[in-house]
Amino acid sequence: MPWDAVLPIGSWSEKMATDNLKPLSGLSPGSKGIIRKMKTKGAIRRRLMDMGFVTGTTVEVEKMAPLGDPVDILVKGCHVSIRKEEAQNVWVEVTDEPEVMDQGL
Amino acid sequence: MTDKTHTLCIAGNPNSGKTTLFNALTGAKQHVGNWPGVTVEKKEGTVEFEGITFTVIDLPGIYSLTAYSMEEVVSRDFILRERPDLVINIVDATNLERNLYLTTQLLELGVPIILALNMMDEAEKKGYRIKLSQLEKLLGVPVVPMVASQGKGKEALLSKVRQIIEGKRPFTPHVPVYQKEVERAVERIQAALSESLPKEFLEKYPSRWLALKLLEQDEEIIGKIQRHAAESEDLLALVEEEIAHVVSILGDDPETLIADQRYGFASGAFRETVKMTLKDRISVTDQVDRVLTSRILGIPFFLLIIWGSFQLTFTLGEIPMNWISDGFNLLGGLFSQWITIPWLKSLVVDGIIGGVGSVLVFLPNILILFLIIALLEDTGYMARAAFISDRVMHFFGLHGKSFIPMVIGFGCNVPAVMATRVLENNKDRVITILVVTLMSCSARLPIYVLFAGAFFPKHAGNVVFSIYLLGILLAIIMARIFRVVLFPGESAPFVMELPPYRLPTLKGLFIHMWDRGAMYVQKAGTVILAGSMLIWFLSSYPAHPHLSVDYPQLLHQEAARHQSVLTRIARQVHVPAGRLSTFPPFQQYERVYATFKEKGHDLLKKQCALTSAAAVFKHALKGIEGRYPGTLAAYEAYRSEQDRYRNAVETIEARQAAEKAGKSYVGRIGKLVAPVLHPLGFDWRNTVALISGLVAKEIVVGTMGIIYKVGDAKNEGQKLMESLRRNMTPLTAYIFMVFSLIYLPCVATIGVIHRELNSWKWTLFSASYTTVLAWIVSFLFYRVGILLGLG
Repeated sequence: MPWDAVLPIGSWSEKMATDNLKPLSGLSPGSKGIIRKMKTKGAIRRRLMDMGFVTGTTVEVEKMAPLGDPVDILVKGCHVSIRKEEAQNVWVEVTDEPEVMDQGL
Repeated sequence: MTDKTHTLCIAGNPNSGKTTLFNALTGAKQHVGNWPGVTVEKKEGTVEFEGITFTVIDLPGIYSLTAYSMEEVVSRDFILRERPDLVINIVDATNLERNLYLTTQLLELGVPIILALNMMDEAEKKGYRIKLSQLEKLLGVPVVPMVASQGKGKEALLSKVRQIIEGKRPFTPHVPVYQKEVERAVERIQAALSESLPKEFLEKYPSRWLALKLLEQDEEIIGKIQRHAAESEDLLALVEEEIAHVVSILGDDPETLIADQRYGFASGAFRETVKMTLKDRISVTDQVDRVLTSRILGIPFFLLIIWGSFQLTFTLGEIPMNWISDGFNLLGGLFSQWITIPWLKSLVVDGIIGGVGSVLVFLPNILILFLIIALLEDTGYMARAAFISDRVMHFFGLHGKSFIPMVIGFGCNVPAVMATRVLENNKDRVITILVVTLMSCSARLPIYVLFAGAFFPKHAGNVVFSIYLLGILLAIIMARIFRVVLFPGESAPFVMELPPYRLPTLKGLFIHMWDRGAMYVQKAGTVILAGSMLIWFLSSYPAHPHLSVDYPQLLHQEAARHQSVLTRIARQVHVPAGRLSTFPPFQQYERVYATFKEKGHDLLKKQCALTSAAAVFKHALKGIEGRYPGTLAAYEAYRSEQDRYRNAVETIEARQAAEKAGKSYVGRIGKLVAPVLHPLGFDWRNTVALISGLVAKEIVVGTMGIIYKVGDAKNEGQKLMESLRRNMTPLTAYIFMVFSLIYLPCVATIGVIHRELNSWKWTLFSASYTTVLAWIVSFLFYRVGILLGLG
């Protein structure tokens, strides 16, 4: 049996990272990105899609809650709060990263 | 035009002004109920326009028409099954793209729709120019611009509604068209559906919509197909096949493709109709959020607002609460004078008036709480509160929005259970309701005060605090357990919109408050009333149990003895026995005693002043004796006889009350149940007190007073503490507090839980798990206490 049939060529997330995609949870406030892939399943995926998280949509990380979770995402003109564990599964192509500066209040 | 009423329903996103439009249309002519079988609020009202009466139904706020939430299922079922004459789709003009996503789905249902474009004023301020005619053309439905909060556009809306209903306007909606492969799959499924489904079913549910839902793997629709379609297995196999086919060609599942396309349709309509004339600037909402949700100030503000809400609910609510309870006491007093038949008097005064009073007494709290909740929700702060507290609450298996009910629980569990309405997800709601009763409400405080005061006088504060802490700890542990055991699997997502801050309308706030208050009185009132009357019956019947001692006979003997003593004294001073109390020297002695007895009490503490006070006292008595020789000794005999007689009567009556309580149904149940609580160190008296606490936990203290034969516990606190100390150890006292904290919430809370969850299963579960938990925790404490040598 050939090796490449047995061993995966890098895990899926590694492949995503090489494609210059990042999970939404990895973005700092002020960053923007375009949704490329939704890795969630079931009700959460459904809910996210209904709230405007569909591929090709530009999203912006607005701010984090005072305790660091959840995050406020600007999507289709609306502020939507999602938990980091949910944001982890939304993969975006980063288009805008704020310069490292104000850490906010 | 016929006189027939037409049905309109309002559908739209949360925060799009749906309820504002509903209130603007119907005014006060509305009533609130629940959708059958679920606890989603159903609002119905009527509006008359140019001689036509419309019934208006306010559907719950939804983002989509999937089976994600009860709200969505209720909405689509209503539209499809009840076939309203028209759906008013209210749309937030400042947020058109996301709002139109729901519109595309409503259009697919195939019912006539009119688009109410709300918040046009805000949209203009933001610099949006919306081409209405273009939007009408793209969607194929009439569009009416509105400012619902000011009632602007209401007439135009109704007149267009009328035109559509009268058939003067054709209804030709444009719906999204999906990719070729998806469309083909839809067609094939549609064909199969029309073969295997009965005609009546297809009349209600359009086959194209069903096909799309099947491709989306909508569980509720799959269930319907399984119930109604002939050869449903073949049909569902076909669906699976089509999904696999779409995935193989387009590389994505139909669910995603369909959502993408719907959004594409909405975005297209948005881009072609809306022009932005102003550059994006920082909105007021963003500015406010920079403070209210900021890293440093977010939490202090949050705590301040929660604290303020709590204070307002209970401090402000206490004033009318006292009026109500005073009013009911007055009413009870009046009725007990009017009614002479003892059992009827007891039923009316203690059963009915007491029962209704116990329901209504919470009303001020509930109204204020709901006013505050309405204010927090309508301004948009509630979502921020959830945003801020979710991190902590999620850790405990709860939701950010569970925080407010939990805090309210410290005041009273009844409004706390009602406050869980802010939670959209049913699982979160059930868990929150189940643990909210562990928050120690203010009615339990008198129990702690009594026991901590009697057994731990030096550390009373810390002991009471430890009980509160135990409640919080148990709530956290139980929430986590329930999350894992009762609702395993995927946790509810926390995907929540943070709507823009808005000024609420006063009318909206008051309608909100009143609706819920009225609902509490109507529905919960019946259960609570029935429960209170049951407990009343159990504790006052049997009315004439067989008592071991003939108490009336004892009282009679005492009275005869008293009379003979009085007659003897009367003879000494040569007055008729009946006039002793008005005999002038006796009245003068009485005054001297009254003055010095009260002052003497204080003076006793100040030893130095004692001698002189006693001297003055004696001098005063001697003065009277001087004027009426031979009366002082007689008065002192009279006085001590009065005291003796009063004590004797009280003792007999207390013994009688205690024996009656023990032989009442509650007492019998208590004795029956007592063995179960024996391992916790409780005797039957503790058990009876706990059972009586089901009406309201503050009653526990009163019952303790009755059973320990000290009469009215409120006036005899000191006496009761002494009897308690004789009968219990500090360990059992602490465990009694623990048990009181955890066991079965009061009847009012049970009633509200049933009302809110609409399920006997959960109501019984809540009642039983708390009691079992109380037993287990108390048992552990007792055993550990004994091991540590505290017993």
